[in-house]
Amino acid sequence: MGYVGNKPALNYTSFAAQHFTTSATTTYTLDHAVTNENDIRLVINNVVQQPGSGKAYIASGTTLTLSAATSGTDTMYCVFLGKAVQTVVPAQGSVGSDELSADAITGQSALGAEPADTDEFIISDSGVLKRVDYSYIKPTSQVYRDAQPIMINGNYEVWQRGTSFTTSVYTADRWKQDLSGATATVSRQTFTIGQSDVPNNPKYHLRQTVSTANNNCGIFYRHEDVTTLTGNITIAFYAKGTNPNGGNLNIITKQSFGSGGSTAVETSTQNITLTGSWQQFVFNFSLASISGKTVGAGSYLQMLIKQPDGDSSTNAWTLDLANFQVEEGTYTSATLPPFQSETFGNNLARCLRYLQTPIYANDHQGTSEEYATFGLGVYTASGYFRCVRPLPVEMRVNPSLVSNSGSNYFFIGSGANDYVDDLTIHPDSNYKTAFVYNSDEASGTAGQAGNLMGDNTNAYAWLDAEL
Amino acid sequence: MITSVKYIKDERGNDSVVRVIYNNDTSVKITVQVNNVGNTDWDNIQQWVADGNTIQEAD
Repeated sequence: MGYVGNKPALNYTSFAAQHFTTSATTTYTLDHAVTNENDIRLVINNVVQQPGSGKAYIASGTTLTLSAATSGTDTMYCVFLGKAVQTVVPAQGSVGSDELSADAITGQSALGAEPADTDEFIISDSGVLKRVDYSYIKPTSQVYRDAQPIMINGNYEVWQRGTSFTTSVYTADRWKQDLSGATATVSRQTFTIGQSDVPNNPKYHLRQTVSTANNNCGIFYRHEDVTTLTGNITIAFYAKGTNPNGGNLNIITKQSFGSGGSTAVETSTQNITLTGSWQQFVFNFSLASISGKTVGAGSYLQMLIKQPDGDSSTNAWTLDLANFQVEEGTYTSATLPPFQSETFGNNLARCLRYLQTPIYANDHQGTSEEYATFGLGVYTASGYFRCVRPLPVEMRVNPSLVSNSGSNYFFIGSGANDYVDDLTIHPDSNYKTAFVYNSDEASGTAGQAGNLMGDNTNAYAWLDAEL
Repeated sequence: MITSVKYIKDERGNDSVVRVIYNNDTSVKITVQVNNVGNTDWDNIQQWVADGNTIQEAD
């Protein structure tokens, strides 16, 4: 049947009653308008009164008229028989899941922003309905151990080449210093255990100490394959230090399309103003579309922090970096996904794609282990020793051999001890198997096998496939 | 910045490897296969040659 007005919610209705303050009068005002006296039941001194003209009372609208006046000691109330009042608050414990509409939240106002820490959510705690503050469930305080971040070595734990550098070289794995005429040192710094300035308990951070500055001096990271980060990206990190004379550093990205590829594209620069305390910086960049670009081998997306191009001052400055991350999409400091901290082993395994240091006594472990083995080999002729090393991780490209030379730096363990000063990459090398050789000092018996190893704490032989 | 590049002959007599020297630093011996496209050292050498420089003949 149809209703005029609000449809009563049957489970939550009751009849309205009105209690009167009596006095010596025959006329009272009702709380609700009625059609006639039959719409109410009037009780005086616990006796039900007879409605109707010529009877105990009549009523119309909000006017109640008694046939005889009451006194101040009488008790009088009425019940509105034709007036069902819908209650606002259901009885306690009376609403079950069946009564809830499936679209109960549809149409409610959307928050439109991250909830405040004290905003509350409804949860079922082992079947008991409870409320919980957003501060307990928001993700920003979580640490994702062993997750795989986009960046490699963003926590600066892997330093295969050593821990201090004064030239334009790769320093921490994947991070290269660019002096641009300046005098500077990049070094590994250790966090105090339990510090809370930078979250997630990183062990190390990178420090670039510039003693004689120059424009464009800085440090960069190159993300392999320009096609794998496109559109809007967010770069975030913790930093502190002192600024160049101009008052700030710059951060800028560059899309390099590789050998034979399209012309590189740089974004506009953004400023970094350091203070003496750690703070998080979050930058949004909109990368150029790669549609129609030609991409060659060795393409990358570069992220560079540097002294501004227009600031040629030579004043010293220092940059400390920690927890460096890049994310696809646009984020603020409030919405940024949590930093993903890899284990050292996983981090190192990813770094090996770009650098392997089979012979290097002065790496970040500091063990000065000089007898590291490059691999096994054979004298293909009496004066030619060729050594092979199956690579534990496939490298980005066929690597270069980066080594040094010195008297008896390398040792060939064979029938007789054989010492050589230096090594050269062999043309048969590839990204899965490295070959090196010596043809000017090796002295053995053709066909005889031997193992090649370092024999001096200063000797090194690296396989380098960095960008 | 590249200072010099020089071919190295392999056991077959081919110029299959080069040694590149950066910033006059001869203490580091960097050797790389020729035509190793995508290798940063080889790509640097290609740019260096395109800029008008010449790879030295092997000894």
